[in-house]
Amino acid sequence: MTEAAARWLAAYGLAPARPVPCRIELLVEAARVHRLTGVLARAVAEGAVPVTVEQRRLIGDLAAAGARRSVGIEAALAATMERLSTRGLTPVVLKGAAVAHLDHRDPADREFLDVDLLVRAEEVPAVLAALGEHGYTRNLPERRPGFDARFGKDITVQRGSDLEFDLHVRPAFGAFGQRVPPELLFEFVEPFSLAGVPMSALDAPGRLVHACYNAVLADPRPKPQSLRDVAVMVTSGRVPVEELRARARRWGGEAVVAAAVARAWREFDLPVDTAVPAWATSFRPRRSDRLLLRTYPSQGGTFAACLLGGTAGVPGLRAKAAYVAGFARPSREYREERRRLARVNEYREGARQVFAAVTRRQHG
Amino acid sequence: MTDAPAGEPAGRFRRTPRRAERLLPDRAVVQLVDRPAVLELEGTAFCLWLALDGEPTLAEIVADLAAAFGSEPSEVEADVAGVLDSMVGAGFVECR
Repeated sequence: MTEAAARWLAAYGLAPARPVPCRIELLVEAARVHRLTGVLARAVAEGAVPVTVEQRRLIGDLAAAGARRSVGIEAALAATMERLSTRGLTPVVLKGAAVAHLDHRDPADREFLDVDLLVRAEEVPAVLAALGEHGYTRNLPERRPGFDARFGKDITVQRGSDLEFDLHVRPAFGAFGQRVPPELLFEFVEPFSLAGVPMSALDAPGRLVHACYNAVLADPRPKPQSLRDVAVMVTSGRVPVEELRARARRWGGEAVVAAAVARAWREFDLPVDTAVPAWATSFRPRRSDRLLLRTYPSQGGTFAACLLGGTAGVPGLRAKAAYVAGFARPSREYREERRRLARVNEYREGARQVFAAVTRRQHG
Repeated sequence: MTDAPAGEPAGRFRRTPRRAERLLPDRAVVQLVDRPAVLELEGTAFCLWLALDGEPTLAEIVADLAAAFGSEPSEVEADVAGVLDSMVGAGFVECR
């Protein structure tokens, strides 16, 4: 029932409002868990959700807590971008902060917990050094020397317990992430200002393609908030279908974009009445793309399969070998730090996932 | 819009651009780039924050809020000036 509540919230404002599918307590819980408290507060203010005075107050407090987190992160982002730009470093803001300000009707609709920055491979050491000078430390060492710049998606640095920056060289894990030429991502950017500080995001087609990648490739199950990003951008009509398809093709990810849009439309039960969802719901990917998509956890694959599938997107045998070595034989420092942090043993977890997938297939 | 009374400083007020902000239905949540403190404004303080649209003068803010609350400007002016003063002091609002 919480899932129905999350879907209702994530779809709020995208189509004529439907009756609330559950008790208000479940709606509040779904909003809290899925970081949709700003959406719920707006739905209450617009009269779509009947509440008592106490419930209105509780929802207002929840939305304010989400807003406090978001503005705290944005303030840190603005200060960081200012410092980086004085060194000639200009990463591109991805996901939360960019999407909240450039795509959602109101930034309060889009909560987030961290900052995602797209960094040029050759600038990774300089950006890490600059962040290090301001108290940010990596949560894990590099897998192998040079791995981050060549293949890395998330390089996480933290300051204290509540401020986290994820640096991305690639837009996704696995084959579809490795396929995208990183320099392409910096070709099409859109300037914007946050807290009075100039910075840039991917342009509208790039943000939509990336939102699709994030929705379908990042998590074992697409998050309602990620699917909402996709639906918000599509329904805004800012990106015509031909432009979207052209950009998706350049990323090598038409299959991903179609899958994400179709999934959002299905989950939110939206009408297929415009060109983008009409294309997405009728799109048939190539066989090779279908297979690669299936390596991702959200499409029935496993994290291990998805990482191994990444070799398909890495050009050249030597590079493929270096990519596999990063996962099969990470450095001792990396392994020891994972052990110290009591992180899952990757080999054991990979074997468990493959075993579970095989068993599922035999019994299914 | 009202003109500033004779003798009043003609300063115009604006929210500092160096802020991260969320406007919720019943309150504003604001944080400055360089300071960790978060300002959460509800009730009349929220209305005052919203009344800063368009870089108004003190007299204009007072007139807007007096109209919104059905009061005489003279009844709210001292309170508004006090709150604005503290917002300017804390860096959330600029007067120029």
